[in-house]
Amino acid sequence: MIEIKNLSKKFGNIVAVKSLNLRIEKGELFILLGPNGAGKTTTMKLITGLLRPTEGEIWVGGYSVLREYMMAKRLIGYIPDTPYVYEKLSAREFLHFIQDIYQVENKHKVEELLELFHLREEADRLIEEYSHGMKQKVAIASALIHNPKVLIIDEPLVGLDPRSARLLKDILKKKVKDGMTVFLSTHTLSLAEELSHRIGIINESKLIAVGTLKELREKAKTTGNLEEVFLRLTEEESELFS
Amino acid sequence: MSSFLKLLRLRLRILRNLLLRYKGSWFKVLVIFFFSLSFLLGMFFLFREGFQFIKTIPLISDLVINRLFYFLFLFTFFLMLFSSVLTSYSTFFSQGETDLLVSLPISFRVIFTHKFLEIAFYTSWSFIFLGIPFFSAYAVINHLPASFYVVMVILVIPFVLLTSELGALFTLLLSRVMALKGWRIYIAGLLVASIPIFYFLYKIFSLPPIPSDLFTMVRKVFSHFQLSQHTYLPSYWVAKGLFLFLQGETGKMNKYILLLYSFSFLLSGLLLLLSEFLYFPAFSNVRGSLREKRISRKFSPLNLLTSFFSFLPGKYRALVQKDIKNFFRDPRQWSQFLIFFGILAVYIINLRSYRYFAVTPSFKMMISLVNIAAMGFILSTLTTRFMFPQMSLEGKRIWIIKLSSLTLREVLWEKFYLTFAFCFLVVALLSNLTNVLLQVSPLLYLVGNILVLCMSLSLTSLSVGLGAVFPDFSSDNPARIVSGFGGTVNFILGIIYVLLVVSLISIPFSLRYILMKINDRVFIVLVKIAITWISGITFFSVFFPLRYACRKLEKLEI
Repeated sequence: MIEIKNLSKKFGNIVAVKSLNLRIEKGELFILLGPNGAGKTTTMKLITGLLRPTEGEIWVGGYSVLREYMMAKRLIGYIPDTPYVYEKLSAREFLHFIQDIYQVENKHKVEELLELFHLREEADRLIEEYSHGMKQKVAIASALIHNPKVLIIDEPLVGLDPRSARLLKDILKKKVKDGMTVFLSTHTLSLAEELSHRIGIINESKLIAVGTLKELREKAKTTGNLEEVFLRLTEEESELFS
Repeated sequence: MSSFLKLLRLRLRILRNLLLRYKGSWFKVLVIFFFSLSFLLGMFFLFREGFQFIKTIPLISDLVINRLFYFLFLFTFFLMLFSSVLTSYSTFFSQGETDLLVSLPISFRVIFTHKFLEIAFYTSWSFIFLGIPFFSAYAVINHLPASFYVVMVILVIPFVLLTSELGALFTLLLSRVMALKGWRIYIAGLLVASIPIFYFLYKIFSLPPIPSDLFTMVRKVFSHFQLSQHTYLPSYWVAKGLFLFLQGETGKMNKYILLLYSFSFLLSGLLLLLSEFLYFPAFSNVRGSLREKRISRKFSPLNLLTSFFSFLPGKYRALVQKDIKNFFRDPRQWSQFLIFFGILAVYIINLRSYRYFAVTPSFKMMISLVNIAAMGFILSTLTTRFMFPQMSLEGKRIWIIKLSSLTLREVLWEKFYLTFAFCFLVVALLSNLTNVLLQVSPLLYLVGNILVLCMSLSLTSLSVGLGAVFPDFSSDNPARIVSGFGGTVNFILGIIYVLLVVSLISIPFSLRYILMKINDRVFIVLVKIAITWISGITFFSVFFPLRYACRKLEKLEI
């Protein structure tokens, strides 16, 4: 569903992503881990078409993100780490706007999502009056409105209360079961352990390891949890570079 | 419905929600309405007086009006071009909304067009706002029919559009073809857009000594501005079209209307074509520049500037240094700031070219007072544009201050002192420099310095105080913060204050030196009375904004 070939992104002299090759299948939940500044968000922005690669190419659902961006974007739902929502709109108005943009036929979709995220009571208040968690819920709902084939989420649990976090995890599990591909970046390692089919670890702009938790344990030569695997792999890599 | 119409509907919905917020705030609505109406009426009467005065000039009044229109359209053209370059960069590549739109299945062409309309609005609203009383006054004086207004609208629409299109095209090409990023794009854009402005100022201030013969004067002045009648300039097409209408030559006028529209459509077509290929690479390019910034920890002019405040106690020093660094590291702020001072520098340099020593004391006095008024207006614009948003720009980070040992009241005072010190130093320096060049009397020196002190105090407290009374913590864009209700009130009050001060001090000087109706003794008494009144007005304009600001900040909950 997502195919990345030889992807690199440079910001001036800074290399943010270096020669990334990755293929994520339909119905797979892929989690990208990495230290701060490793290139996770840049990778996600490249996949969603927010940044132009310096080298390489990305395909989503068979469409080139660069050349057939309109088709590719129709398949993608994106929740950035700090999502933008129009503060002078109500949640209902904002969701209707996104629904219109994606030309969603199901006219009840907005109400369903408001109900699902427990936003119905507050749906007609301006978003500027919402808490951070509520805004995050609106952004998540807006990314799900068109039943995307690919969902890209940067730090999904930020600002969510435990109930909403549980809800989001359940939604992700169900959607993946129904065939949605999820590309997720997080620092919450327990989330990665709980949800992921495969995990990628990016360090200093390079993808240093990809595989299931079991495969990563083997690579890191440890039987410990993901935290230990992550620390060991990123340490090794840093030592190699230094 | 196309994506473009959906975005347009979104804007209208946001506008409706904004207006609905005022539903219960009748006071706010009344204040806005009252100020807007007063401003429009005030400008209308001012322009009407001006036109009436020109009409009294024997033989050449029509010629003066004619050349004045050419000149004004040319000046407006350059100003709007300059403004569109400035707003294009921040609008096309702003973070937040643009990121959302680019991530959605909306074509780059539609996003670009949508953003372009925003630029055209921000570029032209002040021209339209000032144009309404200006052209209405002209129409009233000359008893023109209603069709005049229709023709004006037909002429102004393509004029405004093509000016914004030129600015947008220029920014797009700079950020993509020349691959310029961040502050470099600002500098390049500003330099190019400033050239005509500086050319203009140079032309204005390097006027030859004014002869006593009116006809020769008019001839000399207008021959100095030949550029305004250059047939390749859109400003010429508007003015020419307007005059052809007034002469009843509608056939010829249509040719100019056609020229304006065809040129505007040509540019629209070019922009639409290029936007699909250039907008996204330019957007990605500008986004990338945000990652390349590295701050020097060693010597830099900014570090040197902040080191001047090392004498302050710890917490105040930290606050002052933060404010200075934030200001000068934001290209949106310092680039425009630089232009203001560039304009002032050109003004001062050109004062030397006047042969003041040969002119009469009344003329010197007049120029000196006009200088003070000009500085007051510039200071008012400066403080509104740059100081008013300061409290709002603390934004979502204001909790850091609330948790620290500093109170918000102290932060307010810090901003007040810093702004006042800066404004007073700069304006006093410029005012004294011009007075030296003019070789004015000691009394005028003294009065000039008192006025500069009063204006610095008053305009600073208005902007800092009202900035805290009407904060907008949700926006990170200073230009947007200023364009809100509070910024408008600040701007209008500032202008009213400067007008009041200049009018009050002009009374004794004009009675003594122009009308020659009073002797020195009465003149001194009247100067003292004027200064007392000015001090009183200054006291109120310092006291009330700061007092309300302190109250507001004490009650502020985040």
